[in-house]
Amino acid sequence: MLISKDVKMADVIHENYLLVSVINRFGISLGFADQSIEELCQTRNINLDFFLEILNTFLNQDYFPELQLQTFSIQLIVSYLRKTHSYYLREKIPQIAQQIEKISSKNENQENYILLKNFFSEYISELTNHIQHEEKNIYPYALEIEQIFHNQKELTEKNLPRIKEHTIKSYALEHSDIEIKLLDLKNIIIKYLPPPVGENNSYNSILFELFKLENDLNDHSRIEEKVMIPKVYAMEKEILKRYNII
Amino acid sequence: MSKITFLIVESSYLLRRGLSFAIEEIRGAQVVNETDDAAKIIKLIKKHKPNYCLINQKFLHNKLIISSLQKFKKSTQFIGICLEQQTSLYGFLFSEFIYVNSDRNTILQSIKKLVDKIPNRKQERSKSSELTKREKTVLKEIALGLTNKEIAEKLFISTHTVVTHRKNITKKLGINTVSGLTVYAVIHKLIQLNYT
Repeated sequence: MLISKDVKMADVIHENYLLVSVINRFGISLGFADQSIEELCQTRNINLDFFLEILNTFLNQDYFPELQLQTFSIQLIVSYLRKTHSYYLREKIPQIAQQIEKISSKNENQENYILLKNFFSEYISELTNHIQHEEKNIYPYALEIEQIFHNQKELTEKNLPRIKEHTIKSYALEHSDIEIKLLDLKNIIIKYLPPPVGENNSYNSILFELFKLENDLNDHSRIEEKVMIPKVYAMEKEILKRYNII
Repeated sequence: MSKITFLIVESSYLLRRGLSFAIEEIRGAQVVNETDDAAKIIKLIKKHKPNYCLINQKFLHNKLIISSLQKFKKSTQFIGICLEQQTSLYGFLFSEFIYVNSDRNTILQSIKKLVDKIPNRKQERSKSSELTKREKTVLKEIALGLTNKEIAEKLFISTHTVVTHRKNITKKLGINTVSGLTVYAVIHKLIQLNYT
């Protein structure tokens, strides 16, 4: 189902409650009464079109209008991506870590606990590295390209070689490792780590949270891979053409 | 896992599409082709060798068709498409019937019964997830942190063989990373967990 600007925010959350964490990233918290999406965006100074597309692509697996999404500025896209990063690192990851911590309380859980904990901390450090790399290198580069493209910044000796190499393309392949690790973790819990009697709940919750995290991460990397990267790539090409460097 | 295949022979377009849709709601079932042309039936059965051929009784008007269909009874089972439950003249050819006037659950259940009747799938599944003795040995070395080359030297096999073992292990267990395989090895007591 595609939603439009006149739909009430509350109805959207009834449709898919996972969207609560998505609207949080735009500065919207629960308790919005009967306001429509448009009203909420007006009072909070949120780009309505962008907000709607983010909601709709999250709601519908097979709705992803790449070209339409590429019309939004890199600045807007990156600021959303940054907020999802901080959601993973500050909320989701600590929450799952805490849940894993909880299963340590029972003795018969010790081995499972240590295995899960070690595996998950490895995953955290890989995810953190990846996120930091994007925040420090990729996003600033993408923003710089946009500025050069709009003539808000000069093309210099320093950034020219990077544009020539189409630096943005090299980032395209780096997502898969982290996805595979998360998939492994889910499979280990589902197939090979039977919880002790009476511990179903704590194991279930860890698994649920991993599924939610994966879902959100997939949405995030889809925006990077199908919107940000192609858009920056097109701008790189355009800049080179403009300066007659090909 | 190989799918259970269906061929649909029916003159009504809507019935064909509807049956096709219902069949593909069942996991492991696949419609390989559909036709409304009596002349093509034999050709399609020869080409796809389907597990099941769903066929409307209207197509059985002449003896020639019936006798040629019977030749395929060993590899393809014939299912009659009927409107509703009634005695059929062609019981000798059909092993089951699908009554298209019944409700959703009945239709899905009768298709599911057909899928479950083909036995080879289950065996295939349980066989494929069990690690061989050799694979367990290789897995243990992977979990201990050895490289492919080191494992090859230690077990007196080629690196190529180690790689093949690794691929099969990953495929069987659904675990791709070394740290994931290590966790598996500990749980299954192939190696001991170091508590430090």
